[in-house]
Amino acid sequence: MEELLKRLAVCIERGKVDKDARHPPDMQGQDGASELTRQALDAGVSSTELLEKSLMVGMRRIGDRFAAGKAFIPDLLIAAKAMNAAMVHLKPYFTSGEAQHKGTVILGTVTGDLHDIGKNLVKMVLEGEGWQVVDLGTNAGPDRFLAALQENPHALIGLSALLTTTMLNMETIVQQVKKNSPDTPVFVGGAPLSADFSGKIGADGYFPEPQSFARHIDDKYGRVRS
Amino acid sequence: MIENTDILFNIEKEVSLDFEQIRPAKEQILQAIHYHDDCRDDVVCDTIKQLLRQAGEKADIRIGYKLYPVLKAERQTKSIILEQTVLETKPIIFAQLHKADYLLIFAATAGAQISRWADEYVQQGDPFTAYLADAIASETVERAADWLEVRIGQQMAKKGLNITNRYSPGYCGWDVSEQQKLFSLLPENCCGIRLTDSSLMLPIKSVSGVIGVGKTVRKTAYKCAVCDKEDCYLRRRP
Repeated sequence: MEELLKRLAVCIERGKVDKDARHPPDMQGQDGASELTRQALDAGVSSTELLEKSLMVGMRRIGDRFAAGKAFIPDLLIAAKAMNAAMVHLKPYFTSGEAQHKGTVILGTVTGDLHDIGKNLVKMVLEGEGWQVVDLGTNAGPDRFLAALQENPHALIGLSALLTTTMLNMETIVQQVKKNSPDTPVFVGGAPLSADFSGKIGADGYFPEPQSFARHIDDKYGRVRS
Repeated sequence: MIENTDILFNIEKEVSLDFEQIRPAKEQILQAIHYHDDCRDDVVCDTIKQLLRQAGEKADIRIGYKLYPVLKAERQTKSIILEQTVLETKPIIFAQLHKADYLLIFAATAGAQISRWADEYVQQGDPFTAYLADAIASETVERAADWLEVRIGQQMAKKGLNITNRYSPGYCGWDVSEQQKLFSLLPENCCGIRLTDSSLMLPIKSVSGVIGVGKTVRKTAYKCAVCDKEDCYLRRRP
């Protein structure tokens, strides 16, 4: 069984979605993430074990390579595609409660900004790490974050912005969230931001790429706030 | 400053380009996404090739520009003064533009449809293809701006003038909110581009900026060479 889980982790890391997928070229014709996940579940591997010992392992490997500059955004996205193919088989286990997310993160690109690539990458990495993500999309203002927080009171919040003009709108959102829910951690990310800026607007942290954010919230909040 | 500016007054134009005139090469897309270029058989290259075949139908490329004489380059404030407008370009860009006799103000767009292209794939749950479609759309408008830069360079060379690289608000320390001033210098509804309060251009796959024109200005080999801003996010690349 361990061999199966190892193969599945490789499929995730390399983005081998299913048997029909032509990518990666050296794995053509082999079972992919979809088939191997099904086989593992049919063989009695628990959904939690599958997630922790295989799927997350694969996502973490590609994430680490990305953070080290040895893999690129498309590599991360292909891996996420394979992860999604595996998650289709796991969905019933989440619905029944047998499998549990580490917690919930509300993500959104802030008011006035329509750039969402960075935010989408964070979403994929977090989902790959076992977090549930509530995606508010783009141009999201304080009201939308507060409404999502009301529905998910124990969630963490992640704000994204790409412009120096729109990153200023983060401050209002942070203030509103802290006013309504002082214990809710709010994190920020986006190309023009810095740790200094995060501190100035009262956010709980800035992360330059998704992997360090995922690692941080895993260490600090994983399995505590679900 | 050039004394007889008549020859260049009233240069104002809006042009449409066919995608094929500026079609980005697969290699340019790979470079833009910082992906290795030896991917002949992989899914990234295959997808880029497929998307490039569709991009022409999605693109509606328009470029508008207007040339202004520089009234003054204010060293103390690192600003360039055109008519009633003071462009606060900040030190890095000012250093490249302060010798310019004219500034060409420009805006270009790849169009509304190609700007929304990536969203189609996001909605289909395919962020991978969405990312590549977005990259092609971005590269399309950059190639349009390249086209303008080359064309203006050729035109000015005939008049014995040089041009600088193009510079845009939001880069090299020039505040993105200065975009509002640029658009006030362009004809109304230039290329159909609208500016939001946060100075975001809509359609989102649009660019705007300035090109310095003059006898003693020059182009630099690449843009980051003019900048010593070590903490610039554009340097945070693999």
